[in-house]
Amino acid sequence: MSADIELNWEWPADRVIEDRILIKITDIRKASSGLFGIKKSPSLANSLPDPQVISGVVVNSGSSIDTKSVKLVAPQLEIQEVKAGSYVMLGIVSSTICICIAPVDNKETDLSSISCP
Amino acid sequence: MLISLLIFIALIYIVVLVTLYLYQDRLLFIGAKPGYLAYIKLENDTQPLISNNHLLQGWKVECKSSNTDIVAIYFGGNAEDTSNMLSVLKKLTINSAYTFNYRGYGLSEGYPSEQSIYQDALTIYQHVINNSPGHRIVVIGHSLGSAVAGYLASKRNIHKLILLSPLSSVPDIIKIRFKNLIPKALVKNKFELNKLSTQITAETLVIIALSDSIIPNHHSLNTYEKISSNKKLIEISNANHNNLLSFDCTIGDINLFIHS
Repeated sequence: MSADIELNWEWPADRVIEDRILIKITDIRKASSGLFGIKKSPSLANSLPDPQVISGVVVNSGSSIDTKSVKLVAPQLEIQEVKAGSYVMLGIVSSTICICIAPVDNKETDLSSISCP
Repeated sequence: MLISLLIFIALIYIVVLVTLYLYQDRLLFIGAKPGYLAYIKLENDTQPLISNNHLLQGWKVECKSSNTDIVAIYFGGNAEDTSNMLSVLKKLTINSAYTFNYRGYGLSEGYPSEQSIYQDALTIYQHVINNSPGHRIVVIGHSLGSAVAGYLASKRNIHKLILLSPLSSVPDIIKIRFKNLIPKALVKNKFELNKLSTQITAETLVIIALSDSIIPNHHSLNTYEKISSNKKLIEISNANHNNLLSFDCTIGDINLFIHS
């Protein structure tokens, strides 16, 4: 299912975050491995190790993207202990690329104070 | 046996034709998904416009030379959210630039068609006239947008026209892609810039990318040949269809042409 905001995961590689958004996670599930597991092939440029599909909604942004749905496929290693119902800050570059996922305690958290990555 | 085979092939051909006819809008108007995160940064430049009861998402940006009396209108390609072009348009040595997403693109309402896009182009022109009175208007079109720009130039008085990777017509592209198997009569949105070209009176610059794999160079040259007004052709080597405007020399050539 498509979301309003679809983000692609990339490792930071010395890049600095341009945008920070807070999302409430609604669902996390394993990404489909495709027919005969073809999407898991490490030969595919956009393959990620143990990919998870994170779905959520933007909260407390104070802008027009509040309540917009978000979808991100990220490696399990980067998600850590995050689970449905919790809040995370996504660090974004070039409007579509997520380079960090930082769990936060609640939706009132000051995002600028979070070090990420 | 042979007759059965021929009937079978004919049936398949008819099914393919019907499918292409029904889905041609989706193939042509690929669309652009809204870039919500990008739009936040552009909120100050937002310039919404109602055209024929549809809200068009658009922007107006200040460019490099606020003391000139030239403004530009940019029309994008068939898979383009034109907000992505604002940073490029800002490099033009003109007063300001306007651009709007086609119907169904980004957050613009409605569904695109050749006629609706042409109608919207006329509305956009009037909007620019009203918002920038006394300014001279340069119209820029890229790819499919070149046909929209050409249409506007054939219907309204503009200062100059700039066509980037212009097509000749959609049927001409289909002819190449499908090896003459699709009758022209089945094409709903023709965007026949080659025919409109003869009605263009504004001085025109055509820029083609020599590595263009989407619109063959000879299609662009065909359009160029048919332009009846004063015209200039520039070829950018190493450029392809999608990165033509990312070359500094392209921007430089456009700026030179605008002020020549």
